[in-house]
Amino acid sequence: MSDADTPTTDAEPGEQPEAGNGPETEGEAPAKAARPERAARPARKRKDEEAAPPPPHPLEAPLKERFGERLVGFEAVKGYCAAVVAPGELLGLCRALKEDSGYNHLRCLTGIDRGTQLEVAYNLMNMATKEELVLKVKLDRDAPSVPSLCPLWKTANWLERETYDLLGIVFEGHPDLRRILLPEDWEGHPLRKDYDYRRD
Amino acid sequence: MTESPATTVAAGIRSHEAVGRGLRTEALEINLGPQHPSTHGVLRLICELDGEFVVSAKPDLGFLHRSFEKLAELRTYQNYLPMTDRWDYLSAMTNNMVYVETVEKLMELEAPERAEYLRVIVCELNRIASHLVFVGCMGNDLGAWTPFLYCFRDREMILELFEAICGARLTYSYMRIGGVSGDAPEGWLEGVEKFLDYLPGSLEEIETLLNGNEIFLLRLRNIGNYDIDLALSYGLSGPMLRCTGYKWDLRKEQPFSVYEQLKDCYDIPVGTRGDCLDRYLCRFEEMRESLKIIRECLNRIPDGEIMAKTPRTIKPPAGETYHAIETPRGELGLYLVSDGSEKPSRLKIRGPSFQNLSILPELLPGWKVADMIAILGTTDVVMGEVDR
Repeated sequence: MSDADTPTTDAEPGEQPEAGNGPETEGEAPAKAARPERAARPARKRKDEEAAPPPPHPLEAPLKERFGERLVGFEAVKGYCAAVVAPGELLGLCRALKEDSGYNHLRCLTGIDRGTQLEVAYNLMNMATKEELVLKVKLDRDAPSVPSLCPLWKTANWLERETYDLLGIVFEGHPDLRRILLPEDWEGHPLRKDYDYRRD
Repeated sequence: MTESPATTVAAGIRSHEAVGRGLRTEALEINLGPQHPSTHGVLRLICELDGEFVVSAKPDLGFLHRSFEKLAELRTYQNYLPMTDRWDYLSAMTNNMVYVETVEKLMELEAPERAEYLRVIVCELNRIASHLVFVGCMGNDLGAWTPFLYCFRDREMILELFEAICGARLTYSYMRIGGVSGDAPEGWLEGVEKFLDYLPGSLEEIETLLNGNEIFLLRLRNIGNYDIDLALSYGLSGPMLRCTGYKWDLRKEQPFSVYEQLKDCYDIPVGTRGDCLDRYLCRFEEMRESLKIIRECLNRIPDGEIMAKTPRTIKPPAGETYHAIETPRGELGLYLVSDGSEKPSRLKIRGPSFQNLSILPELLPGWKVADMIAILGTTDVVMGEVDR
């Protein structure tokens, strides 16, 4: 079925069908065979129904209690507790999480262009308890800047360079903030949504 | 032609030791790669050498950058699948796996059980194939050509199995969002079983060529070692982390697919010294553990469907998630953001090779050039995944 509609992998980047206007019908929940080993999954909601907000992640309350005002809010990242913090608070918060709560692993660092704002998502993990946390900072599109986490995790060095390279986010205090994947004289930051990838 | 004793000695000592001995040395900057067989692809290392010793090594990346993260934003979810094969091209099955699982997680879709077992079987076969390439190349890097041929002979059998099930030998695109593209053809599972019976003897053979070879051991033991703290700080994963003795494998720690049901049938090999030899041995033993996993899968695989019912156009609901699996090289994670349309809004690839490579500037200084090749070899990087 789905392999029938994946014959071309080299479609012109220019041909971009309007998102969301496909004629196909959808919304039918996929039928699932009974599988005793796994917990039953809640039935999928129909598209027109208003989805109930998911219950707060169990880590949310203790985090709120501990950091209170230092957290701007919480966001939905499926399977994770995701807290939004102000850029100025990030380094202090991460240091507290690493030194007092055992979050010793910076799993991933993702820069995201949200259109109006840029965003950086940090996946932290405590490898002893396997607790995980996503921290997010929202940045001004014109002057995106956030403190570097290099003093805490050496892995941040290359991850931040990559995010700088592809999204133009500046990590303050980074020891060596240069492009890493693209040539040094490259212009622009390709993962920004307004980057013109059609030019030659 | 006779070499003067001065030049032969100078290669083995550092410049400050040479002072007062009538020898003259100077720092030398050389490029290792991007076109060099020991760099396993197109890695360029800008090395400063003092005699035979590495003073500094700066990796220069991007020679294989194909903008896979941007391409994801321009393609539908199904159309992106063939791109995943080309990240870590020695282990395309696990790339398929993390991609389809991440999309399924966002869609709350589950593949039928038979499909999950087929996925695990091909992933573990791919792990063996990838480690065979590593073992062969490791010998090759250190001057032993023969094991390379033995390893590729055995890998060929896996590639033939893959060819039979999906038609491709390297870029499989075998999995689909919601299942796999085709069921195992008749006799395929029996073929896998035959391979399971065959490989242990062959591994022993390779072992006698390398693992007991005095020169091989001397080139690897206590070379390029680091401790757990440094490994964790650099976000190392896979055998690069386990060689330090830290038992961490996402198949056990955060079981995905059906690994939860398989967790008792295999073990995670770990090292003690954190050196090149431990990294080599970890991978070697992992092949034997993978054989156990596959055998257990063959015992358990049920009959039934291989594709869940999926909509013709994949449109995960707006949202985002992070999902990671254990590939032969470590933690391969995807951070996927969906805006509800038929194309990903953002797909971040957290490749294990990228992180594993980032330790080199700190690890290499102080070792000799020949050790640098050994260290680079045991890092087992695939540049397709580093540069993306």
